[in-house]
Amino acid sequence: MITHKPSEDWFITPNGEARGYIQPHALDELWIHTGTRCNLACDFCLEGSGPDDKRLQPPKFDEVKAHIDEALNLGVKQFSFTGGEPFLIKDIITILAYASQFCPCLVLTNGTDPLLKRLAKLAEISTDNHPISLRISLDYADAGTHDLARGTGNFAKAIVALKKLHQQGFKVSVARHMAIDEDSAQVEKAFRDLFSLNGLPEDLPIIAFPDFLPPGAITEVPHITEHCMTHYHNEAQRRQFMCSNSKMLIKKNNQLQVVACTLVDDDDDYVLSDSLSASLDKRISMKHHRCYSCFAYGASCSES
Amino acid sequence: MPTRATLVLMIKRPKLHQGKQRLAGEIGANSALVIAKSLLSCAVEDAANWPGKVVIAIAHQIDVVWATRSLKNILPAAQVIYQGEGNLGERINRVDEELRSTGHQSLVFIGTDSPMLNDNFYQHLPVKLAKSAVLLAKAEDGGVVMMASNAPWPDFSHLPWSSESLARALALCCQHECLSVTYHDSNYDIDQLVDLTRLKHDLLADERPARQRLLSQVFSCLHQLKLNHEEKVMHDVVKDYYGKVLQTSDDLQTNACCTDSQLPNETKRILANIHDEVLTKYYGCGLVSPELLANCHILDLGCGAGRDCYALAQLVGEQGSVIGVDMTEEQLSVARKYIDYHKEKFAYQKANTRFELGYIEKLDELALSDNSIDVIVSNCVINLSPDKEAVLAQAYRLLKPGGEIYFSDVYADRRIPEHLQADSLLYGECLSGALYQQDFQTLAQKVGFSEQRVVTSRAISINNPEIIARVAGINFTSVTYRLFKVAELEPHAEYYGQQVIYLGGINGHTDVFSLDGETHFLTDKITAVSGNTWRTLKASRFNQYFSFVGDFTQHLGGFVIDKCHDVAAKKAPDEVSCCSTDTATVATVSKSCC
Repeated sequence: MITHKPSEDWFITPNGEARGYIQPHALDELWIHTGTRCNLACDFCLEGSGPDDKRLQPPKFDEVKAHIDEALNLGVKQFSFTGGEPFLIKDIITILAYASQFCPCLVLTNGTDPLLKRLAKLAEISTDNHPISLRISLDYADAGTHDLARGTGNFAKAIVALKKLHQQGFKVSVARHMAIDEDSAQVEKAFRDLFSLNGLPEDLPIIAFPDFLPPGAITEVPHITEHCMTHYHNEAQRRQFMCSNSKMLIKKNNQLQVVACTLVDDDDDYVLSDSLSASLDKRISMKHHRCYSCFAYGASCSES
Repeated sequence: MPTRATLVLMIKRPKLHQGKQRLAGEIGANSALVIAKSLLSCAVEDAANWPGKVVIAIAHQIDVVWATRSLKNILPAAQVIYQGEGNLGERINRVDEELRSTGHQSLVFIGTDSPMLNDNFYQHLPVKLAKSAVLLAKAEDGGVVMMASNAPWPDFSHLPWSSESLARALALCCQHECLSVTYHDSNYDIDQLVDLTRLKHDLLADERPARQRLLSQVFSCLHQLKLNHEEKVMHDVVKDYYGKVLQTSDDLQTNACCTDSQLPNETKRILANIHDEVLTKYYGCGLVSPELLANCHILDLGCGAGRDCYALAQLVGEQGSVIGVDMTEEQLSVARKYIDYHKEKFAYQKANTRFELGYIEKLDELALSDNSIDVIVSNCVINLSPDKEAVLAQAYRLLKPGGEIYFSDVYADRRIPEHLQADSLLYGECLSGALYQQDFQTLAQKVGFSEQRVVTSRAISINNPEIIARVAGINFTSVTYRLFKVAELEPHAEYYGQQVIYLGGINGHTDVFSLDGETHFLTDKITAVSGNTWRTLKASRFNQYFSFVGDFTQHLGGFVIDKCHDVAAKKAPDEVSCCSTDTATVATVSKSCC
C-alpha cells in the first residue's frame, strides 16, 4: 500500500496562502507510462528518458491488466500511452491488443525504429477493435532543427512513420514544440507544407507543447493559489484539467503506482495510490512547476 | 594487461585484370575492380577505427607510394611497408619478422576480402588474443579472415595458401611449434558472385559509410547482372512462344533489335495470355515496361500487331488503358482483330485497348489530348523515325505532368554518315537510324525533357563481317531511357541536401527500388538525392511510395553520390541544444498567476 503523506507544501504556498487544487471528477482517460527507456536521448525530454534510463520501469501486460480492468469499471473512455518510447517495451502490442478491445487507444511515439519495426504487428491487432491512434513527436517542421536534438535521420524516420501509418489507415497526429516567441501561423504553415509534400492530410492534428523542463528541474513559476483557481477558472474549466479527468499509471521501484497526471511523475507527492478508485478521491494540489503550464496555457496531453 | 596489438593490413592495389579473378570471370573485370576498391575502403575503414597502431603491408613495391599518398588522410599514423617477394606465407613471415624487430609484439593480420567483420568482432579481439598465443578467425571457405599472434609466426612457406585446408594447416603448424591456438568468430570472404548476393543482404543494416558505399556498388553490379540474365531468359521465353519466327530473328546479324526485360516470370505469365497470331507477328524480344503501371493510361509508339499493348493492358488493369499507334495498316488489323478476344481473356467488362493508324512523328493528327498520358512506351521504333525531334516534342505534349516516356532504342557513339543512313542492310538491323547519343540528349532537352535517365545500357555486338566493314568503327549501344515530364527539372543534377526514403510496397521491389541504373533506394533507408530526383519522385506516380525531406533553400553544389553519402552521414554536434531558446519559456513569463 502506498502511504506517502504529502508535505505541507502540498497545501500551502511559501507565501502562506492556500494552494489551488483540483478535485478529480471522473476517470475519462487512463495514461499508462511505459517506462523511461528510449532509443533517443534528447536533452529537452520532459520525462528525462534515454537508452539507459531506469527511473520508471516498463510494465508487463500481466501487471497493467488489472488496472485496465479497474479503469473500465470506473467508466474510462480512452487509454493513452507515453514513455520513454512505448514501442521499445516487450508487451506493448499485447497491451494495446487488449486495451483496444474496450476503448480507443492513443500512443505517443517518436516514430523511429522501434515503431517502424513493429508496424506490421500493430497493423495486425488494429483490425476489428477500437482505433489505435498515434501521435508522433515532430519538434520542428525542418529536419535540421529536429535532428539537432534527436539525432541525424530521425526526422526522416518520423515522416516515414507518419506516412506509413496514414497509408495503413491509422489516425495520426503530430506533437510539436512551441517556442514562447514563435510566429505560430508561420510554424503551422511550415508543418502543413510538410504534410502536403508527403501526401498527408493538411488538417492532420498538431498538438503544440511548451517546454516543460526536465524532471526535477527547480524553476520559478508563480504559485497558484485557491484564489487563482476560483477567480480565473470556473467549474467547467477546472474540469478540463488533466488531473480532473485522467490519471497516469507508472512503474516505479518495480511497483505500479497511480499519479495525478502525465506531467508530475518526478514528484512523490503526486503518487496518489496503487489503486485507481482510491486515487479518484484525492485532491490534486497545483504545486508542481508544470501545473502552471496547465493553469496558464491549458496544457493537455489529450487530443480532444 | 596485454600490450595493444598492431593491426596489419595486407593489401594488393586493386587493378584491372589483377586479383579477384573468379569474381571477374562472373561479373566482368570492370565490375570486379569497382568491388575490389570498395572492399579495400572497408578494410581501411576498420583500420581507421582500430585503437592501436596500424601497418599497411603492400604486395608490390611499386605501389608503396600509391598507398602512402592515398591513405595519408584516412590513416595518417599508419606505417606503410612492402611485403616482399614469395608466396603469401613467406610474405607474412617477412612482415611479421620486420615488425617484431621494431618492437611490435602482438600482430593482427587482416586482408581486404572480409567486409562483414564488424565492431563486435574487433572489440572482442584483444581480450581473446590476450588469452592465447595465436588467435584465428576462420573463413567459411576453409581459409582465414584474420590471424593474430603474440609470438613470431612459424615458417608458413609450405602451407596450402588459397586452399580449403588452410585454416586447419595453419592451426596445426602453430600447435606444432607449441603455440596455443584459439578461434575468434568465423566469417566469409568475398571471392565470387554468390558472396556478393549474400553481402547484399548482410550489409543492409550496416551503417558504416564504406560499407554503405560497398552495398551501393554491389547493388549496381547485381542489378546489371540481373538485367543481362533476364535478357537471356527472355530470349528463351520468346523461343518457346514462336520458335519459327525467332529462327529468323536469330538470323539477324546483330543483337540490336533485342531489348532488356524487367520481369521475366511475370512477363512469361502475361505473354501466355496473348493470342498466338499477335505474338507471331512480333519481331523483337523483351518487353519495355516500367514499374507500377496499375491504372495508368499508356501510349505505345510503334505498336505493330499489338503484342506489347496486350501485355501492358494486363499490367494497367481494367481501370487503365492502352493506345497503340502504328503506321502499318496490316499490323494494326491483326491487333484490332483480337481486341474482344483479349477483353474476354483478361475478364474485363470493357476492352481497355485501342489502336490508331498514324505516324509517331505526327501524333498531333490523332485525337489525343494534351497532358492525358501517364506513360509512353516504345521499343526500338523511335530510331526508325525520320523526325525524332517531332516524336519527342509530341510525347512531351501528351504526357501528364509527372508522366514519363520509357523506351528502348539504339544509339551510336558518333553521328552516322549520310551514305550509311541510306544503307538498307543497316536499316533492317536497326542501326542506320541510330542517333548519336549526345545528339539525342540535346534533342530531349530541347523539347523539355531536361534530364535523361539511363535505365539500362548494353553494347551491341555485330557478328556479320560485312556490316562490321560498313560501320567502320562506329559503336552501337542499346539504351533504355526514361524521361520524365517535370517542368522544374534542371539541366544537371544539383544537390540541396534533400533526402527521400523508399517506403517499400512497389510490386517486385521489396528491398530496393531503382529509378535508373545508378539511382537505387533501399527500403526504409535514407537516401540523399539530387533536386531533380526529388522533384521527379515527387511529381511522378512513385510519390506515394516515398517520404520527402528538405527543400531548395540551400544549394550545396553538383550532386555526387559519394559526397552526399558523407553529408548525410555527418552527425550533428552533440553539444548544441535545439531548445536553447525555449528553456526559459516557463521561467520568463510573468511572476503573477494572472
